[in-house]
Amino acid sequence: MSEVTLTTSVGLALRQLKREIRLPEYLVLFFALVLSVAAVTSVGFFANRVERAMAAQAATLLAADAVVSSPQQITSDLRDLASTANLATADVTEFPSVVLNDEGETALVSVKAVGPEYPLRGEIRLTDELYAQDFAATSIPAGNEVWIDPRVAGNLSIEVGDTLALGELQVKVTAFIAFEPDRSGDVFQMAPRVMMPAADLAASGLLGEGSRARYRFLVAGTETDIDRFEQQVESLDDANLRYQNVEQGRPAVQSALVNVRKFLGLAAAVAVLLSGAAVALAARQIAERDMDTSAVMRAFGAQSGTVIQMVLIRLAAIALIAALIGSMIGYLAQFVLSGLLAKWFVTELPAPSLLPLVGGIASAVLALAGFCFPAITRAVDTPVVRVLRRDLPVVRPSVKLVLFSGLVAMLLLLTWLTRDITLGAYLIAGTLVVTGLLWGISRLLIALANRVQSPMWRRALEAIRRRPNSVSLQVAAYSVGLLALLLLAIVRSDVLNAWQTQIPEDAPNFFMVNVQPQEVEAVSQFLEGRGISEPTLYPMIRGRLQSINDRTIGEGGFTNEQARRMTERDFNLSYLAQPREDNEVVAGEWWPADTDQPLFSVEEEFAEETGIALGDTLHFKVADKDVSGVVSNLRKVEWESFAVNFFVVGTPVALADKPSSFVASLHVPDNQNDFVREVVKQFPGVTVLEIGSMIERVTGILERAALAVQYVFVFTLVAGVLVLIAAVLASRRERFHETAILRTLGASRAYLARSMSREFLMIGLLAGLMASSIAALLAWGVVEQVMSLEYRFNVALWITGVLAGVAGIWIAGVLVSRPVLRQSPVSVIRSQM
Amino acid sequence: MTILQATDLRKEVSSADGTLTILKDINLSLNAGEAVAVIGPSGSGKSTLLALLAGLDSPTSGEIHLLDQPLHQLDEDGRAAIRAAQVGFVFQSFQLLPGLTALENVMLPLELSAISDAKALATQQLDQVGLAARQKHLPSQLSGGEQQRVALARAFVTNPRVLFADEPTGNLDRATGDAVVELMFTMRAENGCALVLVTHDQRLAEQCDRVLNMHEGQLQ
Repeated sequence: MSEVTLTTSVGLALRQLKREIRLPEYLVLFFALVLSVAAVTSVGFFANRVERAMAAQAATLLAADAVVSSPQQITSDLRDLASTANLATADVTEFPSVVLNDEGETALVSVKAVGPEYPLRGEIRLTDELYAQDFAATSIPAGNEVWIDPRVAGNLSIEVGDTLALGELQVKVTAFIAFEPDRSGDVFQMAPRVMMPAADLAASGLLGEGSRARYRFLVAGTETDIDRFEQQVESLDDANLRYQNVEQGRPAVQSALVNVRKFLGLAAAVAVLLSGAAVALAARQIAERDMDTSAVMRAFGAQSGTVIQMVLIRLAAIALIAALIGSMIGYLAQFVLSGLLAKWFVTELPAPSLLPLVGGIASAVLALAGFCFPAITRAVDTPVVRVLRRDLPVVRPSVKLVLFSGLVAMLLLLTWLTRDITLGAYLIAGTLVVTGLLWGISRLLIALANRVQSPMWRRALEAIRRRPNSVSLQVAAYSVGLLALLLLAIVRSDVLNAWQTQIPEDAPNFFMVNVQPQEVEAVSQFLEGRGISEPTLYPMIRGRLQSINDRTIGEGGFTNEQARRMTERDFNLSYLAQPREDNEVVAGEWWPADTDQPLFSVEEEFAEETGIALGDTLHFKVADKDVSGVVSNLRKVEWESFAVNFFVVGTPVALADKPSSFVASLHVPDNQNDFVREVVKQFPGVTVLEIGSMIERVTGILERAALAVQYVFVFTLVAGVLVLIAAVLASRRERFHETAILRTLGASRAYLARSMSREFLMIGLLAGLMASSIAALLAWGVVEQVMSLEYRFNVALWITGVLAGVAGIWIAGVLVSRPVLRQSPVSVIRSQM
Repeated sequence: MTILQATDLRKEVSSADGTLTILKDINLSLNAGEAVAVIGPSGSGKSTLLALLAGLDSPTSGEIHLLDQPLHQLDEDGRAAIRAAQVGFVFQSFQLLPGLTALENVMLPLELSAISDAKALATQQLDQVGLAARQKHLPSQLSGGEQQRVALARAFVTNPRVLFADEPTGNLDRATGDAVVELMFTMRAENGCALVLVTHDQRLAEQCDRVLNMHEGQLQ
């Protein structure tokens, strides 16, 4: 006999598949795969485009894709590197200076001299008169012209068209600055802005020896070019150079971006996990069917290799077709979505890369391999003699093996999707815990079934008791589906809630800095008079960290480069007697209000990065004086809240006698257009900074993320329904047989329908209760532990979960089981022989 | 010429109550073209014997030579190779693959033996069992008698040297069963193959050259 050729195998396998694909278990498998691929690819494509758009938008906060700053002039070496890397560049020089008006009044300003290419990302927005409608600048200020911060105008009574003395130049004010892209950093140190063309710098004579200028070299280009440039800058090993890209740029934007990526991935992961459950259930039934087919084929002389080959060909064909269709849906879906979202993006979304496609196909192959492979390998182990004796048990793959390989496949996929192995492991662990719990509960229920006397429920309970494995599997599968849906619903509503409440309606939109100690009372009264509620003025003291215990800064002891930088410059200290409500003490204890000890409270992430531990002694240099104290507690700070916060806070004893100014963040209602002018008028030395526009930008990013997730939620919903159907199908074969026998014995169709309906009600209730409760627990884990947000138990959603469980399972169960009741008993019994 | 020889066959299975002996001291031989019926009550071990003789299962001890091949020494794939080339089957529950049409079911053994022109041969065979018009029907669209006729076409399409039939009329009513049996014997006569028929129908057994009685795992 000659070997069966691959062509014959393919032909045979495809012929079989052509017919079998219409069987419900194949349809479930197929749609589960399509769904999984569609979810992965649509999120992949969409996330890919959104992330790139967001990165581009975040870049506008830097005015570039990356910035290299230095206290010295940008060297030609650095310029060469940028030009070799094909990057667009712009120069910005910032330094403090003084301007004079015609009356000889002076104001301290922060001058920003910009090259003609500035800004590389984003735009400068200007107004013609104070607080008028703003417009985008099309160039930089012309020669001998400047644009100024409205606060300079307030200080010096300047209008557009007036002149100012700036160094040796007389410059004309041609516009007020409403927004400049790269202004949001280091807000406390900023005096009001005066923007001039870099070409005038030399003539102004402002940059002499020892001037305190900061030179910033802005670059923009493709991701690869930027990465290459970054590596080259680092290889220069120049301590003066500080490299900053979009991700390192702003803490608020950075954590928002990371959360967006995680959240989108999480939503897709839940859809994939659900589809995986449906695949597993369908694969089990297909494997059982294949065992009979395999026995017949082997009886007629098929070699084991041929049998396996044919199963593999069929699965590969399913995976391929599902991957193609799923990818197409995913690709189209992201088009629809980006169409819907187009108006949200300032610029057009960049085209997606092909990488998500690879992920889609990989997800289909992985899900099939993970859940089907153990079953396939057992197909050839079925005793051939089963063709003669149907009563012989089929050889089922070990549940442990299926679970193990399925979970490994899922973990790989989830890690890839969420870019976070912890999150993936959380999801997997959740699934395992649920399954284990549900097995326990099912067993309890089965024990209970023996005791219940109610004739009405007895048969339904018996049905459950007779199939302990099958029912446990169904409960587990239903619950996993429900759980994932609920988990997503909880995370979606509550995480977004947490995000949005972090930036509440009355989030600070202004900072007041440089309030002198003697002005604190007057400023507080002024604010109260304007109805601005309870602004707290925090003292701010400039200091530099000298050493931790005996470790001198600069002599190692840092866990990373960023920490070194954080301690190499002055930063702001504050002091407080009472703990703040919005700062949670996470280690140690807050000091008594009347303590006479010099103690410090350190922000936890800062402490971790700089290697500061509870009980360490910190030595600061404040205005040439040494201040030392022990770290008595670590605090958690929500930087995204835009409230005034400090890395290090001391006791009043430690810092109150040091030179300080005060700072406050406030929410000024929109209708108080004259707020800045009034502050400047009454407190000329106080600086007011508007941060509202920056918050709007961050909120915009979060809203976009929410929309994207709602969209992915649709896939999850469909996947959940598929799991329900798959689980009911799993018991349908047994039901056919059982119902046929009962009907032969005289049970009426109505009686059977009633008891089946009660059975599904019970399974639904059990699954609903379990899923709702565990979802709440898991959501807590994900929200609090992984996303570092605050979680609140949602009672309404819990009840909805239970009801949805009962209703969903009852409807799916009754609908899918209807053919069972319709079938004539004779045909069922015959086909089972 | 002996084509099937079983010597001192024994089959044991382990169960919850210990080892259960299903067959013991079985010795039989079958000549080319000969028809042998094995009859006996349910549970006497008829089907187990058929499974051993056809190489669908392996004995606990003893020897089986089928067409000069020592089945007892071969692994499952080795036995499958012999079945593909030389053996046909008819089962009580038909065992047609539900996903394949009548024609495709008949083509299956030809394709598994890599015989070219499978379609033409299968069509011809279906015609012979009177089902030319139902080639494209799935098993679920055929009656029991029709399904068994498809199974007969499938059994004979490779021109086997031995046909194993396990209660071929067990799932059929009397009239249909008679028609199927008649067809089977006609086809066997044309093909000239040997037959091992397991049945508890005395009437059917008497159509064979020899009748062996099976009782509690032993041939009487």
